[in-house]
Amino acid sequence: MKRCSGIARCERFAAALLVLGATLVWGCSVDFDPRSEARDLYFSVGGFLNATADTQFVRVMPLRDTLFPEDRQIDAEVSLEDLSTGEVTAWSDSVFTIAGKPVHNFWSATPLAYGRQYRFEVHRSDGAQTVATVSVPDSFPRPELCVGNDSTNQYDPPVIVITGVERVADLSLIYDVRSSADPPTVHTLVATRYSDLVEPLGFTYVARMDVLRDLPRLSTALRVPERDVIVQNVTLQVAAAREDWPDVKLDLETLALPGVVTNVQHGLGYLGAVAVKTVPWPEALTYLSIIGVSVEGDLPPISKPSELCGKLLHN
Amino acid sequence: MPSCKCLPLLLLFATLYTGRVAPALAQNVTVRGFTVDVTSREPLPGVSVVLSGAEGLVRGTASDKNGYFQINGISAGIYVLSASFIGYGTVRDTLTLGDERIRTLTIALAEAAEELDEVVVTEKREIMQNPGVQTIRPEDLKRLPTSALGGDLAAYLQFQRGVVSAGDRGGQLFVRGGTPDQNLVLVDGNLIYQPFHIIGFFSAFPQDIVSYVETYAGGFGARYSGRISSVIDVSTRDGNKLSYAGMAALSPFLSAVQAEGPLQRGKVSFLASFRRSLISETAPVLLGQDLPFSFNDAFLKLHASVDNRYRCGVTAIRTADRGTTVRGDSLPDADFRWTNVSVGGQCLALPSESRTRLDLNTGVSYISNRFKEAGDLERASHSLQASMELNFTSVLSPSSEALWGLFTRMNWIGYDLREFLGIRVANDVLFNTGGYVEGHFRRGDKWKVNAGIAATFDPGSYSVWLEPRLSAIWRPGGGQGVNEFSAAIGLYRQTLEGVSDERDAGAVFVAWMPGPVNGKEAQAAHLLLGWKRDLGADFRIGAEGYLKRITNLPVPIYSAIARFTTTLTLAKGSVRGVDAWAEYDHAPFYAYLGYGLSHTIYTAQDGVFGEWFGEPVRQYTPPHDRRHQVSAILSYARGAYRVNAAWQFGTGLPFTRTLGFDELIPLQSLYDVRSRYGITRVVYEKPYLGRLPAYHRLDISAGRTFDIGRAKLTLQLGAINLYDRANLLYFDLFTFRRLNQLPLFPYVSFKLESR
Repeated sequence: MKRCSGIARCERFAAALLVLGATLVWGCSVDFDPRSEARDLYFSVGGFLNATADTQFVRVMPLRDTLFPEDRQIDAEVSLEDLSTGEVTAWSDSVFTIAGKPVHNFWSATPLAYGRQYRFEVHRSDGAQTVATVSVPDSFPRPELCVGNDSTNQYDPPVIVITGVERVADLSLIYDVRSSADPPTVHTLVATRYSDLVEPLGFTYVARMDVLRDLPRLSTALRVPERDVIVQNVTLQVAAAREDWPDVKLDLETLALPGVVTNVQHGLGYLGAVAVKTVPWPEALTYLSIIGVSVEGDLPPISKPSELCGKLLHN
Repeated sequence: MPSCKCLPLLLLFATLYTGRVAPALAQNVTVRGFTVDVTSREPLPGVSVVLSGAEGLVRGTASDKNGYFQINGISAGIYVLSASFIGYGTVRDTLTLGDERIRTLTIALAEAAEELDEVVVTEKREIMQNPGVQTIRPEDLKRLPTSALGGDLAAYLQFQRGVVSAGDRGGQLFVRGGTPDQNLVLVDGNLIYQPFHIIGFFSAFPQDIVSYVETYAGGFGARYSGRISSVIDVSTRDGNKLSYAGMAALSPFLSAVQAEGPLQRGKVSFLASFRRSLISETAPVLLGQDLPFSFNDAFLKLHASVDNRYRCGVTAIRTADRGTTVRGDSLPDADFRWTNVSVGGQCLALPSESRTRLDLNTGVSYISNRFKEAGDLERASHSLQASMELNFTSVLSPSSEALWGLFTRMNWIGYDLREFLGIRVANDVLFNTGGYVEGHFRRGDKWKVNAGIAATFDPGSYSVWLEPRLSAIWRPGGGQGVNEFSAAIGLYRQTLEGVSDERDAGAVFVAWMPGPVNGKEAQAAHLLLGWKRDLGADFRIGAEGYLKRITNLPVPIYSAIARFTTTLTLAKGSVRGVDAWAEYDHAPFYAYLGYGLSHTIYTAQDGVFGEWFGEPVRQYTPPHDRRHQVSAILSYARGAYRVNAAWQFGTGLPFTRTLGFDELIPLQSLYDVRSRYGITRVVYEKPYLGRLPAYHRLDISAGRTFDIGRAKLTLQLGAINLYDRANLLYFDLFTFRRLNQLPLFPYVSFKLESR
């Protein structure tokens, strides 16, 4: 033990001990919070407004500290304001249980108008608010469905030409199918997506519909071999959106990065808006029968394609 | 003279080679041989061997890791040869050199009892040492308080300059900004992939089997190739060639048994050791918490020495580690394990008429690494390397020598990384062969320059990769001077890389593969500048600056999706820093104080590391970038008593802060929120902007040895984390569950040794 020969030395020694002791005490408890201090993100908003639908559903969830949601009650009020008219509609909360976990989908039956801009607001009781501004696209013409009608192009994959839209949010074929073992009254709807095959061509979008690739999916859906799949009907669904709609070719990793694709302020996610057109496509049955797929029902003759369709089919 | 039937051609070649390159030595004598312990005939590395004539010192050297020494260019005459070593009595003998070319000796030193009035060297640190190099002896390992009786290399390395550990679990050591897979760890010349145990105080190298360790924290010479960060070259003891000895030890952390002795007295020995961890059994009782970590290691060495010119050994090590990270109710536990096997043979030969020394190393190394979650295999990797290395050391002149050698390495690699890199199952074979030349040149006792180049040939691409290395040491005052300046520069290339998920702080899984991104191999350039100053005979201070540039580093691209799968991209690394230290060594006291400042930055080469809030992330500090580190060791050893204390402080390591969790609604299609859940994601800030809390810990131990007949019993009391600092080991961002490093852990250890 050190002996102090003078008062000053003793004081210095005592001070050093105090510092050491304080260090030890400080060392015994360490708080750690991995959360960012800059937390001005309140709600996560996801989904889309559909000008064609009679009821809108949008996912609204508070940004949470746990991996999985736990609360069936959340502190949130949602409204939608038509920025053209100033009309504000309050939305209702509905708790869905999906995969055993509660999620909050807010809904409204107030019709939306084509071409309008809306402000989607989520309020918390303490004044925090998350806002998304979204533009509903204009209505757009019926897509042109191009199918070859002579020996030079009848086997070529059909081409869809979509005009009058800023971006194609979705392009799907909806097959009405049954198994050969089922009676004709059985209908199973299977949707196959073609959004990733949509390519811009000037002011239009075109997609080459390689429907043969859909057969495995139909067979899987019906759980029968491909030869036992019978197609009863084909419908085309096109969803148009504004140009800020996320690029459908973005990979999931990029899409998941916060802030890369978003129109939400003080929150996360992306709220889109679409106009959907659903088009029956009877000529598809004729084409399917030509390429050897089992079909049933009337097979309309394929009309002569337009000049643009002829070029696209030929290419 | 015994014949060496296995290597006659090589020896002949070496002899001819030496005869051609060293005509200047024709009229001079080379004095060479081994320094050994008189009671065990084991080699003693680091012994100072000096020849003095009538007019004083003629020439001196220090024995190497094999206890080998060689002094060249001595004229015929009468000399006094003296050999001195810490803790041993100095040996002095008269040496009469006539017209022979080579005199081969074995110098046996006896351990000096303190009460004897004999010349005892208390400390003789190496001078003219390259920057980045540190030598470690068993005596050094004893100076740290360890939770088992006797020191361990793993615990000691964590206090070495430029070494950062991720905590007291995981066994990962980062040397001056490098990653653990970039460290080359050799045991008696043979590779061992991951010798550091899952409990971070322990490795496959306990004090009782270690003879000598050389660590290179960068700037290493051309004879080491295949890794880009550091070298840890461990030489193990041969075992007692004269008498049998045994040891058993027990502590709350582990149990150990060891045996050694002669198989043929004076010529062939064995040394065997087995250790098993106990902490998973003792922690619930002593700490009231589960520590589901376990390891064991087994070591066996057979060694033979024939007269004083041939020495051969076989070293085998097997380690097994296993651990579980409990992640809470909502997520499955993560179970990881790895197994190492290293079996190597080494021979050292001194041809009778040649001044060239030959070392042959051959061996097989294997690692198996597995990671499981909820019982399902998630990732697995294994790597097997077979290698052979021939090294020659030839005398060029009395003040210069050449090291040169040939090597060939064959690697078989397999991995199943379905939930990591999206690679299901793959196998690979990597073959490399090459050689190196290294010249060591001295000018008096003021200058020493080492220049070398390593060449590696890849038969797959028919390419040759050259790695030039250069180092220089300047001691302005010569042997009696107090200042020493050193510098080293070199290019390095890593042929086999370990890919780990740096995002996952708790994971220790490493997958070994060649050029994991586009076949590109990691490369590095090192620059080191060092200064040392002796302040009297017992006190030394020093500082060393370093700069590393690394290219083609495979790093995972950060993902916001809550899952392990990732893709890799290439990054450039920039590491710069300085280490400063002061060391006082005057028996019975020893004190060490070190400070390290380091700054590591990774830059994604193609800018695709991540896109964050609309901005690309190109630069970040990786999670092992410890900016400041302070290490202090105090040790007192006298007679049967030893007291140790060690304190370490490190500023917080980088981590990525979270903003929270939500579900991504991916609008790649018309996603129906009424029926689909979304993709759970963790929303991060930009990567590695946060810093974990600072780390510091004080460990102490006090021990006494009792003589009980033909055995001695050592009792040790100690405590890990004396002031119970809650150092963070791992924070699970998914569950917000915090896992701390060991709390205050008092212990009692026993060790019984037969004599």
